[in-house]
Amino acid sequence: MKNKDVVQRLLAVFIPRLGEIFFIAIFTAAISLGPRMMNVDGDLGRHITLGNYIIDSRDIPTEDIFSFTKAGNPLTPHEWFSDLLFAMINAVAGLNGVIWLTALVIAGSLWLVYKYSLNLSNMSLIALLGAVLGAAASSLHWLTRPHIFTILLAALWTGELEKMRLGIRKSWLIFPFMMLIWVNLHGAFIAGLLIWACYFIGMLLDRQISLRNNQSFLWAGISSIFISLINPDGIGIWKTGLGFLGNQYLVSHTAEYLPPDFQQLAFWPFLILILCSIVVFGLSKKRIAFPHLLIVGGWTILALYSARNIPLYVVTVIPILVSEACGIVCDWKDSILVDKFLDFQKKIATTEESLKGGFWSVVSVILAIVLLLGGSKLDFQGIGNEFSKEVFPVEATEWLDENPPEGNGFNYFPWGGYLLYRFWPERSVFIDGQTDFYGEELTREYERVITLSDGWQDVLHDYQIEWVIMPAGSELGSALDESDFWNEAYQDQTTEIWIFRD
Amino acid sequence: MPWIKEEKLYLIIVLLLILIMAVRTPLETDMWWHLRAGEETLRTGEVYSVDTFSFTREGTDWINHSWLSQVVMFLTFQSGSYYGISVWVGVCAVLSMLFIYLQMKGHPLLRSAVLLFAAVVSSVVWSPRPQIHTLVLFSLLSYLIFKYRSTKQIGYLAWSIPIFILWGNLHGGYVLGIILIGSVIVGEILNKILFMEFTDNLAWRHIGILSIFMAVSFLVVLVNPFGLDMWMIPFNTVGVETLQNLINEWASPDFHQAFQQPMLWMMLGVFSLIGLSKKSIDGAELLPLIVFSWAALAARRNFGPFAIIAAPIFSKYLTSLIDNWLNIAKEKIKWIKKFLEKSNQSNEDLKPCFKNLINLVLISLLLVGVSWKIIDVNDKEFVQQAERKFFPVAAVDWLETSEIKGNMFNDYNWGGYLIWHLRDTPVFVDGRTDLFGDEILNDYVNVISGQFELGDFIEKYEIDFLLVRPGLIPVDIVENNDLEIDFEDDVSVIIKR
Repeated sequence: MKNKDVVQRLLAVFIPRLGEIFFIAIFTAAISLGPRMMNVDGDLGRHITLGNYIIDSRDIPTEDIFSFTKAGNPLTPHEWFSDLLFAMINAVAGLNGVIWLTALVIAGSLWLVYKYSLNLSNMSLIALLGAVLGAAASSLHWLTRPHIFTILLAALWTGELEKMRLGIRKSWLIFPFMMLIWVNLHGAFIAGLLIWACYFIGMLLDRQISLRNNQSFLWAGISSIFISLINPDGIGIWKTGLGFLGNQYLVSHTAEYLPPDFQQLAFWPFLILILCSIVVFGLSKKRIAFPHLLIVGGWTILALYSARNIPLYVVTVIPILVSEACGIVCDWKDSILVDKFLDFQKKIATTEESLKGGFWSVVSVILAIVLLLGGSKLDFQGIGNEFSKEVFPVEATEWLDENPPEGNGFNYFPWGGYLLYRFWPERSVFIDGQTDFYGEELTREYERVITLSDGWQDVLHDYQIEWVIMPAGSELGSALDESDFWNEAYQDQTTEIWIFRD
Repeated sequence: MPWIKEEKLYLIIVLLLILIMAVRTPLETDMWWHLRAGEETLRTGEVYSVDTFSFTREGTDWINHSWLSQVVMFLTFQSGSYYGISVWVGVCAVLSMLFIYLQMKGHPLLRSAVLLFAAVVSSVVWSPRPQIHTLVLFSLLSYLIFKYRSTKQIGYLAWSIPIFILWGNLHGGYVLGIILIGSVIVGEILNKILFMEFTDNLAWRHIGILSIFMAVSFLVVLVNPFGLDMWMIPFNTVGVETLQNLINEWASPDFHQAFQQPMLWMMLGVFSLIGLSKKSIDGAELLPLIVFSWAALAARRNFGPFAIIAAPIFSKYLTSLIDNWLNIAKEKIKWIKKFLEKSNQSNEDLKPCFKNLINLVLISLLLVGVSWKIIDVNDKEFVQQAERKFFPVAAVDWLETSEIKGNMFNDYNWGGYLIWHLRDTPVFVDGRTDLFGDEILNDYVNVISGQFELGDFIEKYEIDFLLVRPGLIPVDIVENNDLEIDFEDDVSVIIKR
């Protein structure tokens, strides 16, 4: 009898739950996409460099230290804590560590989507389907950037708000605590307050709360707003975030802010989710609660406006859709197929209840970092987690190391972060990926040069540019080749470098 | 007795407002090659189907699926010039909206407001091209299906046969009609499978009849000069991979642009309203809504069909929601009850002659507005000014007097204009993407993006001169390829080999 108990206990530990299988699958997928996650843009270089600076100097810079164009200008370090985390993990485990951390955060966020969907619906199979669709839709933004912490916190934040709506959570204290972390991790903390506003207004409309009787919901938001001021730049972080979003030029010139292009297959999972929301709302026989309606409507708008909001759409909307979808399925109990499905679902639920889970998740996470540290290449292509020679000027920077040019350099905008990673503090950049800091004026000047618009040579002259680094075959490159004032000093398949002739 | 009922008055007002919206200066580049093709068809007495407008596809057979629209357009232009074309677009837009209105439910004022909203969404695709006929026929078809579902009379479906014969000769967009009928059939089957009952539900027998009519409609599309090839047109067109790089309307919507946002608001409005409803949506409404939402998100040219499908659903659920709220509000809030009673009373208090006078003045004012808009947007000087702003007017004048002849490389967006205005010089490319295919279009995209060496490109196509926008080809590339600029103004530049 005792032996049977032991076996059952062991089985309960060793047999994974559906959610655990999902977590491991997403974690493995993210680890396998490592090189892609870090090579989409050069911002990772900037984040690690800033994090290193914070570790070395024990100071969070509030003015620019990376560019010669804006040196000393006030800067809002709205991602300083993420940068610190990236730099710390990079110091311990190199770029492999950064990929590991990113994969962990992404898998954790999507696991939360599954978990909250399951909590709201009690149907693990539909919750799993929703989470898988969500993973496919959000995978475009699986990147080694502070944005991933916003995805995780948005999932947690929405889940806790939902618990409060359902009366499961009574205390509001967790919200300011979460906001304190969020505001220092990433500038999109405002998303949390938007989600709170949707819940608050929605619950007022539903007459689920009243201002007089349910002050804890109000306090959750108000305290979070005040707590958001606890960051190195105080209220400046609000000005920076809202100022950037209000600048049409900068938003339309930042690739990740562009709307989704549904002609590309990669955006189809998101399109399917939108259509699913129409189906779910259409077939539901009960009125959708206002908070849910506002969340789904609001995030659909935001995600259709900017593709970078798709992961936030996934973590906030999918639990709602799954919960409504399960309500519809239950309405069709009379159907034989549905009845059989519900029976099957019940069996899975009973089995899952007897399982503890967690073991294989811990094993896979530990195993991944051990293997990566041991030199294993776990990505699909087997090339390892390095900055790609095809995307970044990897070989050109080696040449620059050996032949350091003097003076200011004009660099290709997406390479700014990588150049900082390689050369800072010896060299500063003209511009890098932090468009919210560089602003419209400098971005326009940069654009004028690379598109050879009127006065492009004046920009180079005004900033006393002595060398230029651009991708091979650029329009600017052709013009510099023809110019009597510039010498091509280096060329490979990715990069060309020109030096100004005295 | 008022000489016009309230409901009709609202409809007239809103249709006149839509006409004011839809009448625009007809300066669409594709319009010109359609006019020229229509002219050729009438001149030769045979459907224009072998290319003579370009040197890259000269002599190639071309499935001219819009031949009848082109004839209509040319005759309209011949008799009414720009005025004729702009009024024709306006009338088509109004007709497409009228059939939506006839499917709507609720108070006329609310229906009129929703119709205006649908007009704003759909206005993105109101242009002087054959697809405007697709919009009208799609709307008419959706109305006929609506009537069939509510009355079960086959007579309504019988109209689909002449409609599809006409559609198959007017525009390749007939496939949208087939998709619409198909999605309604699937929706009805869904109703049956999910045991969902609605007042307009079709019995299996009626679903069968609808399916037969769909098949017959698909067959009668073959009654056209190109026969079976007409079935391939939708695939040939959508199959051109460079389509969305060249034509904005084939691209996915960009909601950063304000004029595209109304579609987003309508989509969200519809799904919020059905979300707030306590009933399931009819499958025959849901399926077309999903299909055409998908189509509109994939390519903005489908905003029109989306609006036609979404607007009746929008008005139906908005009406039900407002009615519910008003009933609750009347019971709970006294001043609302009093206000509603008073507003009904004050309307009845008005004398019929006074009502007639107000209505007459209102309609007259709108008619004046329509006339003013038609005259204003087609004013000769205004049209010429607009033409000079967007098209190479001066370059064409210059070319006609110069001795430059031979193969011309032209900007894609000017192809149609050049076909009409520079008649002796064949173009490199124009809006007939199904004719040029990926081979020519890819070369075009690659050369303007610098991926195809200009010198090699010129050799390949034996180009004698280029008519492009200033700055499209950098000065150093011009010099490196032994080219020289012969003409230049703010809009265009002519570069000779």
